[in-house]
Amino acid sequence: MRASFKTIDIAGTVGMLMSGFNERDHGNEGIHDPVQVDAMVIESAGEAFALASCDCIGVQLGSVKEIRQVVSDATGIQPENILISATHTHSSYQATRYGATDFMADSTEKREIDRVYYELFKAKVAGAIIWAYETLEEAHIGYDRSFLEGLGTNRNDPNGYHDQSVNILKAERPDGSLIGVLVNYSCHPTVLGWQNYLISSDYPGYARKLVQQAFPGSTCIFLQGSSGGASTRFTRRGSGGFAEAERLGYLLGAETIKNVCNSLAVSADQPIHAQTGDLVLQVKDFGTDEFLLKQIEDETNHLRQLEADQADPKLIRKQYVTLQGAERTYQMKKNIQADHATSETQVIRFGDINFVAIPGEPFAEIARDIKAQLGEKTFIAGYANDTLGYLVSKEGLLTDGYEKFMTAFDASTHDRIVETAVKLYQDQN
Amino acid sequence: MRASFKTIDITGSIGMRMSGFAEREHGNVGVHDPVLVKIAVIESAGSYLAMAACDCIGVDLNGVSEIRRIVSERTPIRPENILIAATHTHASYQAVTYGATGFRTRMLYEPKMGEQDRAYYETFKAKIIGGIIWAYETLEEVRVGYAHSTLEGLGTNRNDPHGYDDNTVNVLRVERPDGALLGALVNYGCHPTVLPWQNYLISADYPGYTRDLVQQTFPGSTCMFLQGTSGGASTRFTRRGNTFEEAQRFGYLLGAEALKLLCHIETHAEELPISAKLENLVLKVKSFPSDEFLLNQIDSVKSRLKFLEETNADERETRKQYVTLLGAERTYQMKQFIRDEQAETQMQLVKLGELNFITIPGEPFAEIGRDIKAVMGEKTFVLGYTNDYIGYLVSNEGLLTEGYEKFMTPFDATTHERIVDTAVRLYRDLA
Repeated sequence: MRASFKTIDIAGTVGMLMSGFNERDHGNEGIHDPVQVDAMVIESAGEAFALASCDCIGVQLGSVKEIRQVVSDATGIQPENILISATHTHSSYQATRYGATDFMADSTEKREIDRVYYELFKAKVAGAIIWAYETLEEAHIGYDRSFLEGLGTNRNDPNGYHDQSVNILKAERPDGSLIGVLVNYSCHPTVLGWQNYLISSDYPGYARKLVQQAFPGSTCIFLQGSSGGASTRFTRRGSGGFAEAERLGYLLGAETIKNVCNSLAVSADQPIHAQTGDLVLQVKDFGTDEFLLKQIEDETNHLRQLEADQADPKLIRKQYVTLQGAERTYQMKKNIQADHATSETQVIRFGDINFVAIPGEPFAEIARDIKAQLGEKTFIAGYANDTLGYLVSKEGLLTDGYEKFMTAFDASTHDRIVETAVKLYQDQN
Repeated sequence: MRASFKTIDITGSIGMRMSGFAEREHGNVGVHDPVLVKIAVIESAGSYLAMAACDCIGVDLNGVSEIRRIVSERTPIRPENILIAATHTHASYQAVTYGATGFRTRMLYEPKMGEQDRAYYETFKAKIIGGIIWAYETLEEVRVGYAHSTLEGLGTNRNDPHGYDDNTVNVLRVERPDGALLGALVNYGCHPTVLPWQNYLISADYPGYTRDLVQQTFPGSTCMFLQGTSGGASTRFTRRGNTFEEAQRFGYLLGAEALKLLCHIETHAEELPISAKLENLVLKVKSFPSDEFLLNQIDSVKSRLKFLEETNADERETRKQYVTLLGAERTYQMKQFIRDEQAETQMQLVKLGELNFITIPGEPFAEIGRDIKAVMGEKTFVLGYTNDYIGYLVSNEGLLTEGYEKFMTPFDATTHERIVDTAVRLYRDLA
């Protein structure tokens, strides 16, 4: 068994637009910490798979397919064995999705610098994977899982369901030194708010930094999970900021270090199987314009009432984004002409460990139901291979909130994603 | 509230004898990682708390009393507000116990010590005194906060992996007004015996790695490890080897848990009252059976060990039986040299607001700590190996289990209650 982990910087230039918050009215003012793409390649039993995690809001299927082809041509790794995900930091460049043409595409004017960045971004992701492939070394692989309190919660109800699992996969050299660790956890990287105009990887960057400091020479990759409905809204202190991103990132980093210490690495080859399949989601019935405008008015009034009552800032923030969601629903109705969207789900099996790629912002209950079928040793990679926006669970649709408004899809979404993932898994058996 | 943390290196010279394992045949052959004294002084509401945690097997009350006297002559810190603890690493110098008197000297297996050991011991005390005074002179404004959690995978009950063990990790966070970490106290109970007797390199064992991880994460901070109730707890059933890499793995496990707590803790600037008291602890020496019984016991344990070795039994079971044999032999030796009917030593309670620091002068079993916490509450740091060293302090439950520690303790079945009663008395006196 062989493995390699590599990192490439994807920092752009000052002034480029950032992505994640509608409120921002100008481009970035500089870099707080470099954004990067982290790539992992594992080769076992004559097969290889690759995973790249990018510090950006999301990726799109068109560019993922291009990257897969370039990598496959250079290395022989099958396209379906390559997974490209985003950490979903809200403090990176909008240009990573320059090529998007779907209804999730940004409406801002596209500039030449964004096109250049986008081309370079794809080349860097492909380059990081190829570099990792070319530097594969003998490795022992270990897995562990634990649960972490105090970072993410269900962001509409702090006592609601949330997946707190911290999955890790580590690769060690035969001498026991750490080559790299992949850590999978679910929580929106939105500790830094829209007022931040500095490029940053948010809390995942601090988690990676802590692990890499503890194990010099190693690479830590953060793989975002099922965080569609999870954030630090109810756990972050003060108004967020970099010190708070560090505190929360260190919390995850420390849990990762514990898992690295606890897991046992084994050298036996494990079979690798991978498959991609179409995921078809039905666009929801938006309701009449009159209904949607009334909805916006109601949410606006509710927000004003909370502000007048000087309610808990967390509740005001929740209502603020709910209003954004109501407005977005009205806009989406205008933008979306199709009655369905086709994207992709991917399952990679590595021994008894599974990686499931979901092309958007999945709620935790969707991941729960996939794990119920595939087993707990399953890394759910949200924001992977494509961006379809919020993918709200059945439970999530029963809760009033931003995400319910923001999703373009109907109530069959939850089952469609679970069924597609399970079918891909079963097809490999 | 003000605080200061300092670190003093207590590395000695090559060739000096190490302490902790009877099997070692010669002195240390070098230094793997420096052994240190971590010092914390906290001033609040006009009173002080001074703590020193030393990378060594134990400390003796004579030395501690001298340190307290000199520190209190030169600072306003009162003797009863000073505690000196040992991490109990088995890879440090035996010379730290040069000044021990009475049967304490025999409890530590010490062969005759020489001039180099005396010089080391004098320097060791002077360094602790100097470190506390240095910390006192550099006090700065701080905020403090506390949290605890439990940690799996490091220590377990070393006679029965499913038996009782206190997995609590207590952390006190001390930070500057801008939120930067100044220092952290980490209290956990587990023998620092990842490194075996075959190791002849000086090392702080796993607690050193814990401190390193915390300090490198928060540059400029100092992390102090305070050993807990680890008389019956070790890594026997969790360790994957006896290497420095394994000590690092365990140390990082604890360090990462401490980091999590440090990230969770919310701090407060309010002044907290500090109070402290010392109390004599009198323990009864056990009644040893006849020589014939003890010699038969040694034979019986030897036979069992031989059987385990011949049948290639689980390495951990064999190790447990091996140390049980050491204990049985030790019991026979103890009977020959212990003439006293009782031992007098000392316990101490220091209160910092709601937090309690209770000291125990030897190797307490976890059940003793459990019963103290049942009275004082969870916000209690139970510090073993502190202010004195009088050997294993076995709980009532521990005495029902066959094993090394039961043999090794010189004290009778009243030990558990005597320690708990003394702690509770101190607690009520300071209430």
